[in-house]
Amino acid sequence: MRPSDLIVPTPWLPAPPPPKESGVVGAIVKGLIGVGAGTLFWYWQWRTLAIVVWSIAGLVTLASVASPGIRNGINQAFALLGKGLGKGVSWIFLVPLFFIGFSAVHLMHRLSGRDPLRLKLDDRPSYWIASDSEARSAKQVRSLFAAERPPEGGGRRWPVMILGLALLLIVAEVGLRMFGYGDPVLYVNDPVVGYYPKAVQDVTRQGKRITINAQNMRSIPIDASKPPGAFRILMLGDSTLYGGAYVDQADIYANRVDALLEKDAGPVEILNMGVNGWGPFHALAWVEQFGHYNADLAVITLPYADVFRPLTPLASKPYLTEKPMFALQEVAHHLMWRARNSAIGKPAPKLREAQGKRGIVAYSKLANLLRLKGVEVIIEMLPSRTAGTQGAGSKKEHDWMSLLQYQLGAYRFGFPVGLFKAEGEAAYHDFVHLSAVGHARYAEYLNTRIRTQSETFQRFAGSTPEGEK
Amino acid sequence: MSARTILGVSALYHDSAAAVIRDGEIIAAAQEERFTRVKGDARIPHHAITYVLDAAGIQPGQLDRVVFMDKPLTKFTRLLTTYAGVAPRGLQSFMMAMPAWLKEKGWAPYHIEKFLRRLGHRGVDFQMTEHHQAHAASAFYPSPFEEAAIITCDGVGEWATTTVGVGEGNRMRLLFEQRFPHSIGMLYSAFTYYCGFKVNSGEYKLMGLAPYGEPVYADLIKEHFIDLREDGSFRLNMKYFGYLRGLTMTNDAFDKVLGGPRRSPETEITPREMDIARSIQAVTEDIMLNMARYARAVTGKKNLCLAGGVALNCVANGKIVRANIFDEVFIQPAAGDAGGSLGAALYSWYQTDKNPRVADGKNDVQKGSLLGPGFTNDEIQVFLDANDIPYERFEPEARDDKIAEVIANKGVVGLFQGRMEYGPRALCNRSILADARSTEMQSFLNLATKFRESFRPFAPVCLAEEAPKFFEEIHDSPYMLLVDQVKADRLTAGSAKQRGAKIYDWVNTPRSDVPAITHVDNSARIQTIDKGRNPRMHRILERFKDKTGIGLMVNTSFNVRSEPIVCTPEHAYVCFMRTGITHLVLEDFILSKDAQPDWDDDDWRSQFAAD
Repeated sequence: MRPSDLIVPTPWLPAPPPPKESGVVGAIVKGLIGVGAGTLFWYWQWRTLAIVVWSIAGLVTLASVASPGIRNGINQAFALLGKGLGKGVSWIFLVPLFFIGFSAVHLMHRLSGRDPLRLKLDDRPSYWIASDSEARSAKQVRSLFAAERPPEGGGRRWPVMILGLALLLIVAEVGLRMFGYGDPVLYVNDPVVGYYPKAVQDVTRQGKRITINAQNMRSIPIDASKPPGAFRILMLGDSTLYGGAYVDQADIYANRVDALLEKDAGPVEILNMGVNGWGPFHALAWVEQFGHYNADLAVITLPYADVFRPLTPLASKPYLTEKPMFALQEVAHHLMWRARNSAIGKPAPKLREAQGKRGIVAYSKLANLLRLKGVEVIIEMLPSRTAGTQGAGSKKEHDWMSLLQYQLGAYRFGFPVGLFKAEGEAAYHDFVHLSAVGHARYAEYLNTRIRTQSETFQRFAGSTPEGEK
Repeated sequence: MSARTILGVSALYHDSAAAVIRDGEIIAAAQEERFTRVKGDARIPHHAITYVLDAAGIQPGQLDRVVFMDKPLTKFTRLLTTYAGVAPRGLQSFMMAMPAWLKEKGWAPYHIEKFLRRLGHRGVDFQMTEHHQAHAASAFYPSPFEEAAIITCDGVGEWATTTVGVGEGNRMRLLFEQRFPHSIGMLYSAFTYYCGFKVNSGEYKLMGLAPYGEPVYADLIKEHFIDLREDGSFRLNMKYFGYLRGLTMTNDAFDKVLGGPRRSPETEITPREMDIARSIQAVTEDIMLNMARYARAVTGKKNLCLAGGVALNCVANGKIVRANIFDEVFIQPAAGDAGGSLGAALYSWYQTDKNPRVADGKNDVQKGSLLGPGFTNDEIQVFLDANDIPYERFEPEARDDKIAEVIANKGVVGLFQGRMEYGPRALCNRSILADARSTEMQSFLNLATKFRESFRPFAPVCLAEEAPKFFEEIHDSPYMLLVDQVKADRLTAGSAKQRGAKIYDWVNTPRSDVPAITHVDNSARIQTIDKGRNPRMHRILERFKDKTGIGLMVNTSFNVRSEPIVCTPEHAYVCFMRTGITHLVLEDFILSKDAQPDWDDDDWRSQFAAD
């Protein structure tokens, strides 16, 4: 100890009051924030994390309320954590901002010959700059900005714009990530089939879980070979079957049908090979390429517009093969896809009609191929929201479905117009895609259809031992 | 409605401070470093604010307004503009600056208001001045002049680095300015850095080193580094400076022009550094003189007010005064950013609220810049008794006589009396005093008392009425901000420059009959004492004159190297015990080192970061 440390301190001067310590109310508020965060995690299906967060929030709040010493310790720990996070976040956001934003502005200045810092020397007789004496009036005293004239070239505006843009981008990025953007379902580019989801994925979008199994299906994990004693149904279709990101994995009708059929029939496995944007050519190529997975029954589901879909490659879709660095990147990719599609425009009616006929032929080939492999086939057409009404669109839908039914007359065929009368608009997410309510209703319908129309299922259900019913 | 009590605050860059005025009268002002003991403390001045409000007796709810001396968002846009001007280079600097801005500097008003709420001052009107408006106000409003030209000059404010303005009655305007990155302050700091001293605190050392050298690099500086105009305006050639994109002031191109790398800190100072220091000092003086002529021409005013960090360059100030461009010159004693707190408050009182101003043409209203904390004899006795410190108490007259006697007998006195000074100079209320006649005193004070570089000069304090006997032209310098030559008839033979000699030998060569305050170029940084501003010090000098025949002694700040000037009796006592000071005067108490208990404290210097 130094002699100076032994000097008796005398309260010579008024000391500034110490910062207000966080009290019990603060501790409770922090606890509530923790509970809120846990609830968000729960909502996003990160259930384990939610429980961990709730537990920590509870413990920390209780301990903080019980003891000021612990409260101070916890506050210090949070301060340190915040400091560390702040440093990390600074690097994550500021480095790209510097290299992209600031370098771009610098480049623009170089190209346009602007010199906001007045770095160039010249021959002017004086380098004095007139001050804005009038603008520097007392009126400015409450402004965070000075009244002084900005550097030549409006130098005050663009830094603010850059900062504003950067903040906007940061807010947008954070907001999009809260809704699951930045972590999309990834796809495989397949020159034969076109594309399909990458195997083994588990993502949450808009709070809805999407799980892709090892066979690239939005299904439960399965073995490629069917388990003994089980009944396997292969469902083939597009985004209406896939369910989109707005329906949770548990709510898509393929899963619900599985549960309904198993109630009194025995073990049933439903392989949901519904893929966004697929048409008949994709499904046909997929079955040709990968087979039928020993399915007993194939249910080909489609809204009528699928007949017009050619074998589109991944490049023509807004899907990504690799995880994007930013959520904004995903959105930008999607917007560019829309712009490109908009520029290409729609095919002429005649070409569309020809494609529709080819599509029907492809469905026919698909059904025949499956039948040849010993799989029973049922075709189920999903009515659009306007099916059965008096509009021109409804008539067209009906005509094409009739044509399809005519061409595939050898197969069980369903087109349940009026199925969603009770649910009404609530059954649909949009014109053709079903909401969770619609999925539930459609699952009941398919349950009945399979039980009444599928001979193989009836045999399976009939042969199932009583104990398993 | 006009605010009666106004708090001015400067913070977050360097040397933060607070000042309070009531009905336009300066009540109290102090720098934060004096309380926290952190040299140049730039944090929000919690202690200084608390002190000035207490000193003014402002109770919670009685503060009408607070004025901050910066426009934070304009400063921030300047920073962003700078990075956009150098990107993709400059990441390291960007990553250092941004978190500080995002966390604190950009929200300075919020942090100040938050602290005021802690003190019980809620809903206080909050205003902000521009950086150079505050500097200009700090120079003009306390000055004795009804009308004056104003020059402010520092590193950088928002965008402005230098301004020329005019003050008339209670109004002031900035007329012309130079903008970042073109800054004399930055230029001087670049050379400070190059000569191995610390930026923002080593500038005094560079100025003190300059007289040892010759201006052999001046032409090179003008040719490469700066494009000067006759009206004092200029632009720096930024290809030689590193402060836009890096963490250093200069770069390799700068080194190349000057023929080698910068001097490493704390290594031996060679004639090269002396010449470089002299050269940049000469260039700075040229610029300042040209600027003063320009200010005179564009404003037509016969008086000048100066503020900003560069206005602490006493040598340049002295040249401006001696050039007789203006009739009178007033320099804000706290010319650096600390003084901005006072300027901000005064700006608000006069410029915003348009209150009338009276200037008598003779006396300033800075109150001798003795605006900080002071302590009564009773308080000091409590301190001394609580610590069993041996002392003698004197009647005021006897005390002054005793001090004069000790100094006349080659003693070194730490003088602690009255209110602490506001600004970087110790004006004899927190000073170390010694006999200027001694040939060894400069070395002794530097090496054994202040523990600083041996080349650094000491300043004289003399009776105002005696000044003409000691100095050639400047005879009124109450705030120690002017340098003049020691009178030729006091110089001794052999006082010519000894280029190439070891600094220690050079310093110890007698140059006049007051060698301890005569720098190697026979100059001195003068403080004159008059009865009005500091009657007690005036009496001490009179007693000293009675004993020795000269009314002049050495006055250096009461601190050691890197330590802020002492603020309380505790600080003073500790500094006294650690150094070669023989006697400590605490108001009417005198402590003799011989009577003090043993003080074994060898490692105390680690307490202060080297400046």
